[in-house]
Amino acid sequence: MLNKYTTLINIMWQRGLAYRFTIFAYRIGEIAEMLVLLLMWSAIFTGTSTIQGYTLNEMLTYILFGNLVNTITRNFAAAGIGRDIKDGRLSLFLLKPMKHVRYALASEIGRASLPFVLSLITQLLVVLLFHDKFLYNTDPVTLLVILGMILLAFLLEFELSYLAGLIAFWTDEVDGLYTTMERVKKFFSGGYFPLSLLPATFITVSFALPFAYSFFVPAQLYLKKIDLSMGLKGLGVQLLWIVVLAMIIRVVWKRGIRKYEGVGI
Amino acid sequence: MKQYLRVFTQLIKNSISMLTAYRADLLMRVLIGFGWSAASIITIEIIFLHTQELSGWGKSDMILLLFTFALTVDLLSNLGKGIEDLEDLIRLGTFDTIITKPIDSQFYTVFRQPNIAGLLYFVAHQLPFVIILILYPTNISWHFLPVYILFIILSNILWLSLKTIFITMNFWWQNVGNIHFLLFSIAEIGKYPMTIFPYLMQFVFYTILPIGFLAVVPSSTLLGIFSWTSLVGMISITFLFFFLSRILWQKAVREYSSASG
Repeated sequence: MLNKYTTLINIMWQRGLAYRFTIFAYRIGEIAEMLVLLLMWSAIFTGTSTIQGYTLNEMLTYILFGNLVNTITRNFAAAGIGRDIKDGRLSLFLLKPMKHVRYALASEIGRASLPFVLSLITQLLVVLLFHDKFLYNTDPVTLLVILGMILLAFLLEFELSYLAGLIAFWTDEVDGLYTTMERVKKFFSGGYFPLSLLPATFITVSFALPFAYSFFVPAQLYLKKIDLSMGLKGLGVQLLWIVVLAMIIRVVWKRGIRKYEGVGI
Repeated sequence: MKQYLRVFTQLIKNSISMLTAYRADLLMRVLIGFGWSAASIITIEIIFLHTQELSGWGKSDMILLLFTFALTVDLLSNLGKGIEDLEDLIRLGTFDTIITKPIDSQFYTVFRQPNIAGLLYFVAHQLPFVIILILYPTNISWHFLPVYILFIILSNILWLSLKTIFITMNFWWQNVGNIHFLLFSIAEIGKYPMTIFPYLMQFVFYTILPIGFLAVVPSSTLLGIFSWTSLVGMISITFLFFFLSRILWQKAVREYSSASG
């Protein structure tokens, strides 16, 4: 049963190896983006020691740690699913003895594993570069909760991405939409700046939404800006969203498949 | 020259007629354009709630910088979108059909598919910035506008040349399909004041990888910080990279061996 999924993961890993330069290029770009954020916040902190309760070191750690979490949790399933639907390749999956959502998840795990390893290495190198500014949290319980949060965030991100991919059942031109959704997700996850810089109501709402668990909440937990009980509550919220999104995916898939034309058949 | 202009006009016409076939996509691009500029403006607003300036750049200066950046990377780049498909052309061997045409292959590869929809996105993206720059007080020195326009033209050529240089690498290295994404990511640095970077990085961004010239130099000029050094630098760098892209392209085409045999 599991064999077919591990085979899929392996195939996607091999494919990743063939495109290792592309992965490396993306990574360089991400490091550049992160370095800009680090330098920008360093410039903003000139002349002030705290901003909204953050010291410079906390802000830099937020960016470094948050990005590390984000490199593990994010995924690009939407574009692949969108292409399968648009090009009619989905028809092949309808004949296979596995659910498309499971196929997509296994593929995504395989696809993400090589960039993940590369990201982890490069991210740790950047942390080393800022080692005198980086704050360390070695509390095993906190780290365990964060690990759980990251795993659930991976699933959540996958579900959101899968759902976005299914939009291709209704419209042909989806690439711009996916990119925009990525940006919106990054904004609401606290990827551009800590959500604490926004009004308090916004933070309360973001704790109830699935986005913040891929960046903001784990980073806050790591920085001890929120306590463990909030972290555990966060795990509950994540689980709830995973169930809700799975149900939404079921409904959207059923409706979409009725609309599916199977181009090329 | 006249022949190239005629071909380019025809390519634009083709692109417009294709556009009418995708009206929903058009509307979506306009909305996305608005959405992205709104996100950028909100981010700037939030940052400037906590600081008066960013390395000497005020809030309205940053808005001008973002506006200029898009003017540089989205304008001519959308008209020259065709270069981004070069990897496919080489891999599938369809580049053969381009080199057999009685027109310069670099010109045709770059401009054969003008992205008019992308230009509409560009207009929608720029509109909120223009409104802010008109309605709110800025430090713009309007008498430098002609120099700013000249710089924008040059930086568009510079950006397209940089893109072409990067993508031309596909002729030699088949596994670097998305190399232009690397350039796009690095170019994002051009949205920020160069003074936030250490001196060594600033040196790189004004010489080897001249993204400092894309938006920072033109914006600074419109903000009244003009120097003859920047004018000479801008012209020299643009021409240097333009000719570099030509030389590389010609060498690549000479060494090109068709994939289809």
